[in-house]
Amino acid sequence: MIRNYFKLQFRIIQRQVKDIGFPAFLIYPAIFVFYIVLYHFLQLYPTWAAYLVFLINFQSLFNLSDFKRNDFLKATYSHKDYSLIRITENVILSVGTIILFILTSNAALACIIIALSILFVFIPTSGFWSRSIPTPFRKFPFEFIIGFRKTWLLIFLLYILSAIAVVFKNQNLALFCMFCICVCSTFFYKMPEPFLIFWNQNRKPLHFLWYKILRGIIQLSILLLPIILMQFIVFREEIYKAVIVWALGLLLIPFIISLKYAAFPRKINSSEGIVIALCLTFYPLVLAIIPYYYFKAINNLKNLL
Amino acid sequence: MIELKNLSKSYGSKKVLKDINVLFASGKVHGIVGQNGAGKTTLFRCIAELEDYDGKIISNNDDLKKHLGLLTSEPYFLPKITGEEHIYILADARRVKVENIIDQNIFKLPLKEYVSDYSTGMKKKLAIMAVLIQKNEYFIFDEPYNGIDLESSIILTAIIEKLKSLGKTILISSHIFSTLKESCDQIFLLEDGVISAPFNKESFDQLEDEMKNKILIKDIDKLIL
Repeated sequence: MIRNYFKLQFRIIQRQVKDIGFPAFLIYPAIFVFYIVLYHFLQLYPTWAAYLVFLINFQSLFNLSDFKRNDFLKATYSHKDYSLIRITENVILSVGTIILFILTSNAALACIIIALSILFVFIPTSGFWSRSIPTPFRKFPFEFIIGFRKTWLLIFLLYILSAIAVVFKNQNLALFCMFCICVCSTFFYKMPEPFLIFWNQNRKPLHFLWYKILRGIIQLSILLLPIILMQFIVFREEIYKAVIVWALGLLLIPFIISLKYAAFPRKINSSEGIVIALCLTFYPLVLAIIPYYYFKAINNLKNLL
Repeated sequence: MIELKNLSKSYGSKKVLKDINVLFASGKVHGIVGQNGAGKTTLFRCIAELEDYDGKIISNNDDLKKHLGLLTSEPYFLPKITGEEHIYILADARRVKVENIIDQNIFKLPLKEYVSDYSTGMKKKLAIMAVLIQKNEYFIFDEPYNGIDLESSIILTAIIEKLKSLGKTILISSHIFSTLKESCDQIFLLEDGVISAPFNKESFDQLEDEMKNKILIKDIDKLIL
């Protein structure tokens, strides 16, 4: 029974991978290569990479505990099967990270991931948890409001990490948290909005794109504001570092919005995903690539709006 | 049968269901009506053990959940799943073998296609079909007629009639009163978390009038058009 559920999940994953233009037979080798790259990344930047891998795993676990999905599983399976399915899913998702942490002597983080994998199974899916989470973006939906509600726990965790950074006078950690929020917000744009919402627009392509970019910049700045303020109070003399990270982080907004609308109405595919990964690894590329996708997006929007 | 004894449910300080005592007998169709937010879905979620609650829920079976087919008002489907796979996964969860899916496809759905390509009505019909194939003893249909065409709603009413003749316990909520009048043996009015005494077939019209009298249209003046 549970085996059939996982067989189906595997088929679903294969279809999703095919959809983004990646050959299904390369999934396993790709996962293997991905973990080798992560291992080297962890060796190269032991502290920051470990935090980053931990946060990505944390968010993935949070995504799997989505209310509607879990509600469906609870209604479909017995309590025992539901718990087994969820624990197995979380373990499959985290096993790579746990091995990496053990190999790189990050036993504490490995233990936390194991604990979280079990803990996330018991997150209630009652109506109370499905209620809307207030956000500072309610008058200007779409990407940030949805993204924030999907990642609020991660952002909350990053705020806590920033507070720890401030208490222990470690500005680099606070800057790292700022950068994580910037990267996280780029993922808010990965899904195209429903065509009906787009269809309702009465703006011209250029105006539409700039409206989106300015709104994104303001909304990301709102998310970064608490960390910047904390640094302004404690690291006043070195606040310029926070301003630099803030400015560099904001560059991601025109980049990802241009890329999204260059691809619209389809989703961002695997080759564009690689571009994003390359840009995040070698940041100056962002500046070089923005104009290309910006003009591509304008041309694409001319056909759609 | 399903019996609810002193069933209450709160979200924080807000009491959504208040001391509900009711018996849903086997071989009968029980309708639940009430305004949006009256607590119908919460009541169903409590019966399906999707919510914690105070009070007791008693049934003929030790584990009600294992014999309960739940059709939610907005059915959930796994991403990139075909109609056929959705039916198989739900049947498999209850250890039921699906026999001759083609004959059982009463709504003539394109089962080999992705559910994401279905229309709203088709999704609802698929969810109904999956719940029926599970061979349950108890059925909860939350807004089953929403979004489905006339032909399918006639088929659904006939299915409900057949389930009733097989001695199943059926609970339905719907805002389409005419469909409820046709299929239900008794209807309960749920208002602010309190359930009324059952209205039987003879008093359905009285209930409908009672509900219509409560409709306030003066608030429409507040709308900025």
